[in-house]
Amino acid sequence: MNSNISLLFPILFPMLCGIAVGLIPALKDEKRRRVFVLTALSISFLLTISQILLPEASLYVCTLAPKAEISFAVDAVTRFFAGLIAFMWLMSGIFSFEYMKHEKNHNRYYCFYLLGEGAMLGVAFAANYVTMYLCFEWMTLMTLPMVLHSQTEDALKAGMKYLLYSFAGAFAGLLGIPFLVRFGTTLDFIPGGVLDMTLVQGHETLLLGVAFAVILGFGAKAGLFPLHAWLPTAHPVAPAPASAVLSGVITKAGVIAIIRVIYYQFGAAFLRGTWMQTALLCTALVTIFMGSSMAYREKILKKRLAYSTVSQVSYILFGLFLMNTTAMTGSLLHVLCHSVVKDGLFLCAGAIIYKTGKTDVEELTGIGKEMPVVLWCFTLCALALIGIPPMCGFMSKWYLALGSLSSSIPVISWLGPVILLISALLTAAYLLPITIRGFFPGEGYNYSALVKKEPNAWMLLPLILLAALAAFTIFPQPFLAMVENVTASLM
Amino acid sequence: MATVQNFPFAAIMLYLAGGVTCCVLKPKASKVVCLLLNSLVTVLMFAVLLYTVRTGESYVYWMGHFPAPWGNEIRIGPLEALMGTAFPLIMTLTLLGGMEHIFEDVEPEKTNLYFTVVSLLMVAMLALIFTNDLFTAYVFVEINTIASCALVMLKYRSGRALVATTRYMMMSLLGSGLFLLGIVILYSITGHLLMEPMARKIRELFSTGNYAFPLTVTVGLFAVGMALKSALWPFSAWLPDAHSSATVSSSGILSGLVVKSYIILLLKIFYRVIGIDLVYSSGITNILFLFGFGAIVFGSFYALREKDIKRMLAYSSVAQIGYIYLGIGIGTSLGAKAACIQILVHAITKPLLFCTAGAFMSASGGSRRFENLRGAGRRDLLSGIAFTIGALSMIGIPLFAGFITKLHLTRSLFLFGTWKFWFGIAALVISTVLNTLYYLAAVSVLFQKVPGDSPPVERPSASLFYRCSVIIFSVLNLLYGIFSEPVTQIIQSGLSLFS
Amino acid sequence: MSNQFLILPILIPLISGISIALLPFRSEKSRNLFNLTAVLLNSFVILWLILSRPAGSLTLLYLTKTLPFALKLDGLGIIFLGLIGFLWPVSTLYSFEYMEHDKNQPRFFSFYTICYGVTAGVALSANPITMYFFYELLTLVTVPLVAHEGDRQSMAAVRKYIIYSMGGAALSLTGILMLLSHAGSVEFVYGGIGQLFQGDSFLLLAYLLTFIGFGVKSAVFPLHAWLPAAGVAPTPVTALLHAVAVVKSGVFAAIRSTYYTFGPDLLAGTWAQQSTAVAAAFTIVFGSVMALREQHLKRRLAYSTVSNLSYILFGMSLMTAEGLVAGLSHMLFHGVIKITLFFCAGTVLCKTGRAYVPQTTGLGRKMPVTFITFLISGLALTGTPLLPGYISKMNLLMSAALAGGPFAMAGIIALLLSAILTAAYLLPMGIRAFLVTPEDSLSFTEHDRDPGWQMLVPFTVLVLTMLVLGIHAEPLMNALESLIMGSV
Repeated sequence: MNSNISLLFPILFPMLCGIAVGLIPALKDEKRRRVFVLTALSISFLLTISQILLPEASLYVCTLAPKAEISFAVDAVTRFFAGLIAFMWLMSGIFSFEYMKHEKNHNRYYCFYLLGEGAMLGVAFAANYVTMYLCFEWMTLMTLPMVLHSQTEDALKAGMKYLLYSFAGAFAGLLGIPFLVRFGTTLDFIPGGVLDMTLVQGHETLLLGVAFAVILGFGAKAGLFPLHAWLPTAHPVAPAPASAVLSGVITKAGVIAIIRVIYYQFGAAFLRGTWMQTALLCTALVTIFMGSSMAYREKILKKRLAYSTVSQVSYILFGLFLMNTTAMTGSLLHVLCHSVVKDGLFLCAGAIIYKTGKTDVEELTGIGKEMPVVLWCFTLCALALIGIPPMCGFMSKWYLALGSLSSSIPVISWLGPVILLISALLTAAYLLPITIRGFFPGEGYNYSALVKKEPNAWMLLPLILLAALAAFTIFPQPFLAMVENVTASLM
Repeated sequence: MATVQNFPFAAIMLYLAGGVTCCVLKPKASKVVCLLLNSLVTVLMFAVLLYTVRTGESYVYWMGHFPAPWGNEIRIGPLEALMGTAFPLIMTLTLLGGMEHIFEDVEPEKTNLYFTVVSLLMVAMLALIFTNDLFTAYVFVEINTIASCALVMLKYRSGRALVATTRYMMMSLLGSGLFLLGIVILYSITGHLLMEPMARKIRELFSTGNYAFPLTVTVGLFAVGMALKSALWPFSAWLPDAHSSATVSSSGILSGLVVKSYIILLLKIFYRVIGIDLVYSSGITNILFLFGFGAIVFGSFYALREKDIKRMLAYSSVAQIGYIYLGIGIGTSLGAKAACIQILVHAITKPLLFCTAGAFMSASGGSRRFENLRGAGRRDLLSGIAFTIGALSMIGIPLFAGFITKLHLTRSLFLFGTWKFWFGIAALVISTVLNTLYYLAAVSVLFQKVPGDSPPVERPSASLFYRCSVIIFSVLNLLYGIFSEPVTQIIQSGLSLFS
Repeated sequence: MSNQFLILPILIPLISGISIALLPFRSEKSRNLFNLTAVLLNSFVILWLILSRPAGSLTLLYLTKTLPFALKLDGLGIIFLGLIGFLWPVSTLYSFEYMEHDKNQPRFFSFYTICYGVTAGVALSANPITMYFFYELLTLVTVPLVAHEGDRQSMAAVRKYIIYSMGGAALSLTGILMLLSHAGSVEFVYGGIGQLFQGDSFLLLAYLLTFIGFGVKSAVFPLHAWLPAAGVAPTPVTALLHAVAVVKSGVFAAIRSTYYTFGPDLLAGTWAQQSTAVAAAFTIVFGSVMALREQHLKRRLAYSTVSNLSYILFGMSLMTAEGLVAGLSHMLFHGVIKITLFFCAGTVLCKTGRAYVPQTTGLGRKMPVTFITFLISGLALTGTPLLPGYISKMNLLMSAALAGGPFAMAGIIALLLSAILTAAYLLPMGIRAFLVTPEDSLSFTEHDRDPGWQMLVPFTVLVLTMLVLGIHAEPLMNALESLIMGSV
């Protein structure tokens, strides 16, 4: 394996840019800052693509303490997620140029926005457990200011909740390290796991318990029950582009961590078929159902979308927990789908808030007349999320259901698809009315007072791009290929 | 028979002569005579100590050429010689330390009588240390009582002192009475008054099982009698008043020496007359242990509450005497050794504390209450430092004499069974904590900065006597804290030869 | 290299401390200069001693035939001595500005410096009795410092302190003497007497008594109550003494008695070990919970210390070499972190008079350096990677996982619970300081600003140390491992 210093570039570059935005006074000027940030995000994107196109590369940085090494590498999972991260970040960044006119303290926002990107990429590029944990914690810290951004009392409370839940989850995740050191060969991510079975003899229950705690801990970031409560509070309170990134991308940090823990550390072979797997599956199903129901009842748009995230990410986790190829495929497809779609949905919500100040779903009657493009994008994304062909959500859900049915786990194998179906119905119930009422407001709508309030190009461009991507199932091949790469290396 | 062996007897005679002489001399002259006498006896007894340590045995000395069991004897071994050296030495230093107060507190024309009383007291105490005969012991116990009451009473124009003396006398005489009763019973059982023959007879009786009950009763009588006189709790009610109303030197002498002489007598009776095994088997030691524990706890608690420095020191004495009885009550030779060590340690520490307290009082217009003593340690720095040394010794910091006691006492607790161990530890913890609290509080009050200090009424510490005394006491304390081993050896060998 | 110089780290501060009280100095500045020079000199002497490693012990005198008073510098001593040698000059510098307006400075600085020598004595002791002597002396020397303010609160705190400390000292003396009665004269050696006396329940009892006795200064529940009360002392006292010198002496003494006197071989697997593990685990959680509930800033940090000390004790209670190294690493890191936290709290108190957490909202804008330092230290204590707390927590978790057994597991859970509680009681405060403007911004006065250089230099030094330790702790960890085995 060649040692490649260039692996650090995608991680460090955005961080340095972020610090620059935070500290250099010359960048307080809006135009300059906009150019700077756009360039930074674009270059980050390019850097990331360049790194993930490399053949197997790794980089050892330093040792914090005995057994705690920092190193980065590129493998299938990295390629899959890093590209996604950089792309999403770019999209939300473009959107935010116009949106942030609404808010204050821009430099602080962009500073932490970029720092967060670096940390997030660090999670994707991490080559071992310690590095991943490090980047995971720092990512929480770097994204915290975005949640706190508006500095209202609500924002503070939400931020504290975010911080504490994330840290609690991270500490539970930390639990894995000592046990893997004791019972495993290395902390590096090796497909198939690193457990030394001779050492494990007799301690299976202990290890399973530890693995369970670790997964629940990292799952906090992904909104997995029971540590999900921060998500509906924190995501809405951040500025919309930040919410988009939080829901769309940062939750996937939890997913990355769980993939690494299950497949690259403990090993699916060890975990498959155990009580722990069943428990995790139940947890995921509970979350799916609960998230959708809460979303249905929620009136504030951004909060509704947040609950939706809780539910949707657990689809992904459900597939991961099934530990078979089909389900994996479904999960990874849904990673792509959900990121794109949720990002889009939040950006639409942001556009609506920006232009009309309306946050409540009830207020959105007739919005389609005022902002048709936005609402069209919203609709496309909504359809994808519900899972209607030919939108992307359909494919992922299909694979998930198949994977569930083909697994040999009692009850769950048929209960899974049932819950997925119910959740899909609920998703439709909480997303479609917005579209319908938006386009067809019915009587009582004041047509004469209608004013077109379409947002400007900065905001529309990402929206349209994302909505278009949501329909990728029309050309599924490239994406399936990407996914297969990953699943092949895991199984 | 070496000349040196005559010295103990000579010492007693010298004191007798000295006492008589002081009666007729003027106060200043009698002071000189008394001091010289004490110093001389210290030297003499030191020679005896060297002799007994070198020969490693204890010898008997006939008084008037009548052999036993009709004549009278005294017996000197390393332990007796050690005590015999320590007592005059401490007496000298205490007198020096409190000299100004003697001249202040006692009626001017009667000051020479003070020194007479002191000499008589030394006669009695030395006699108690050396005696080998029970009846002699009783006689000198009585003389001791009278002399010590006089010591308390001689404080001029103090009604308090009179009341305290009366109480002291009552309790003391009660103790003597019980003691006499014990002697009477023993005499009637054994027919002897001299200790060795009596002991042999008792052993005989013990082995045959006759008179078991009377023997136990006598043990109890002796113990209670001496306990009353040495202020073991719960018989200690007289001590705080007596020791605090007396003049400074008297307080030091009473706390440091007088009560110890009774304890030494008790030890002697336990070892030499009744036989230590019989004593242990009678269970009286358990009671002494418990009383010692009570003394430590209650003495310390009351000391904590005191607002008057001399009373605080007096209650502290109650607690320290408790240590001695704790050691005896453990019922092993290690415990007895610890008790003897504490006898010495307390004897060199408490007079120091009393003398410095006297100096503080003088530097603060004569008041004894802490609120008036603020900053006295700064006004009289030497006394302040000396008091701190004494206080640290009482708390039991290593390198000070008090730690040696704690060391040996704690060690002796281990090689014993269960409940005494836990009680002992509790006593240790409670006393350490409480001692620290009230001694540190005292030290901090004494060293407090008081704004606008008024100049003191007198500066007794300017006196050379006082300074010498206090410095020597402090040095002794530190020396013993650091180099205790030789003395401990002497005590150990002395105890083994005691019976 | 002659080992007579071992007495120097004790004598230099002793003499300088007494001089500070007695010599008439021309001005405050010259006295401070003298003080700082003496302290720095002593730290250099310590550094020199550590580097030149005198072998063998220096016997000062024989208390009794079998009890020598002796000094020795072994691996464990180097660790502790290094910690205090580094932190004392920093802390002295800080206290100059803090005590600027105080009326009793000579007395304060005199005892503060003497305390340096006494703590060095604890570190340099070669056997239990010598250590006991310096340990008791430490209590006495710190009493005037705790009582410094002289008000009723301080007096009550001092009483509590004395009662707990002296009571504990008496118990540990008993334990030590019990040990000596069974094992004769004992020098500190890694592994202790363990191998000779396995299964001796008298010695187990002795160990327990010693642990309780030293547990007072280590603030183990329920013997911890004096520590939050002592928060009424001036901050330099709480920071250095009650976050570093006094409490770490307690932990140090506990480690000496566990690994170097009684020995893991004697203790492992027995009820004595289990009791210590349980006590430590409970205190870890207890301290954190109490810290969360406490609104008074310094008391909150005091409870945090209670919790963190038990991290060290927990590592120790595992009775393995790894556990010891982990505990020691936390001893070092926590010392640095906690002293910084206390300094920040003290600066806030000294400059603005605010003592309670709710009063600090928004203060970060006026005192950015102070609060950034606070935030970094808070993150460090929580265990954020790249900062030192992470490394010691990891070490503790790993050694616990290696040791195995239900008590180790309980400890692991306690550690993780405590970690999240630590985040909860430290981080929100730091964040609120920056982000919230209190309703009444008129409540800020001109005094509410960052302190002068005498406080800023310590801040900087400490933060830099934390960053360095956090990123590059490997040499330190390796050094720790090789040092604890004892043979110098």
